[in-house]
Amino acid sequence: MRRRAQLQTLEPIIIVVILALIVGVVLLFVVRAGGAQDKASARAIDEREAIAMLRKVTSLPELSCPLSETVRTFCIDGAKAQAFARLAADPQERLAYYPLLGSSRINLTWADLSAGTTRSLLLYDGLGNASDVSQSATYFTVYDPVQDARLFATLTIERGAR
Amino acid sequence: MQTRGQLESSFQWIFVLIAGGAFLFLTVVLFRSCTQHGEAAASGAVAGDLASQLESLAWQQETYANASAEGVRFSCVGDVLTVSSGDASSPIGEASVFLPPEMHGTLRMATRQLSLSAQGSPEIALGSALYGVDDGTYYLVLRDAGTDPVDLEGIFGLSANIVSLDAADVSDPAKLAARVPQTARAVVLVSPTTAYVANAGISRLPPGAALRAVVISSGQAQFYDTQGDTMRAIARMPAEDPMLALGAAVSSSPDAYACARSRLIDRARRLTRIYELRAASLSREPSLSQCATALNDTSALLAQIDAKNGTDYLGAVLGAERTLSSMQSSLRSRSCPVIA
Repeated sequence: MRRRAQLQTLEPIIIVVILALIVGVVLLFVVRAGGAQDKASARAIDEREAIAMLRKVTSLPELSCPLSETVRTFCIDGAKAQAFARLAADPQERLAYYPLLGSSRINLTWADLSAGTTRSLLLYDGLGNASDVSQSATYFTVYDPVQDARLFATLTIERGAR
Repeated sequence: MQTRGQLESSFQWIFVLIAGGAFLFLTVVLFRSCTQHGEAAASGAVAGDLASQLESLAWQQETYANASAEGVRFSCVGDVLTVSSGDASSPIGEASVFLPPEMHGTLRMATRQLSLSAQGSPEIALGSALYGVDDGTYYLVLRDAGTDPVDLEGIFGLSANIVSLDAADVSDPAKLAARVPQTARAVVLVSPTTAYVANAGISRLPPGAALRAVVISSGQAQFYDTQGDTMRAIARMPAEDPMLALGAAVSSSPDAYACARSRLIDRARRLTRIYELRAASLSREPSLSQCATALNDTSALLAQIDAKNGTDYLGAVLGAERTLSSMQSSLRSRSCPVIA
């Protein structure tokens, strides 16, 4: 009888403690759900940025094929690419392209099937010590102004997490 | 015994009230901080998203896009164009972007390429610039016989907030005021002469609207701001090319124009440096020996232009347009690699 009376006196305290627990659990759930949404939208943004980056690189006059070329879509001028790579090797110049190309490493590889040779060129390296690197690759045409030939090429872009 | 029981009961209620009050207070504080954080994050996201969208578009050629946002400001902070929304701001790095000082609703954007093309030769691209017009800003472009008007309609098409007027109409303030809705937030008068700005009858234009004017003539852009009922000249800057004249009209602010202009010059300089290196390396190719002299001459001219300092560079490259274009035509006719 005394135990029951003691329990009765503790009733309001128990209710407050239980309410606090419920509020805590609900808050935890809300925070975790928000975190999961953030991760999903970050992934979507990352994919969009990879596509935007490929478009940007190919539409740059610094790299794109001469305006007189008939096929200009997804076409990179090999001689311009070499000049750009020389320019971008200078940290000061590379810094100017950082807002556009960001924390990334861009490699261009092209094959001259008639000569049986493959050539690789590091266009831009702003990756530094970035972690969580994602990679995307796409096929391009490289215009060689020396031979006046169009060659098969692959553009590989490694992007570091922001 | 009864008094002790009453005391215990009172203590329990006091505890419940204090503990309940504390929980309520904590919940309110947590909720408010979450909301404020959300608002700050939203402002930051608006500024950041818009800056990255503008930057991404500005490097592309001949694109059109719209962006919607409320209460966004564009200003030049330490030589960098910056997008601000609420307390958050985000820089638009190296891209050349000509924008009005504020945006209230929809920003219509288009990019155009600065290029050299004389004598019908293939164009030599010198980088692109993005132009944006806010639907809440009214652009009154005055046409005057004998001058080339700023071609805003050529880029953005016919729309309610871009109005071309005969310059003679500004002498009739009622005619001018009739073309601008009284709800306009900002009015920009793009004029070919200073006299038209003086006669614009600004007291008849929307009283609450921000009024600005840009006089574009002889490769110069003169910026005006309102002071009471009069327009006051605040700056004069070079606008050597129709693309830059358009940029001055759109931005209508000397600082924002200077920011975008200097980015455009930096970009053009990098491009001519690449063309110079390309021409020099191709001139050394044994299989292109028949083109060596022409390519060497091209490389030397580009090196000469690149050696000019920041303010002289644009004048030098635009001044050499005919020579570079004829070099481009000559290289093409001889089946040599062109400049760009």
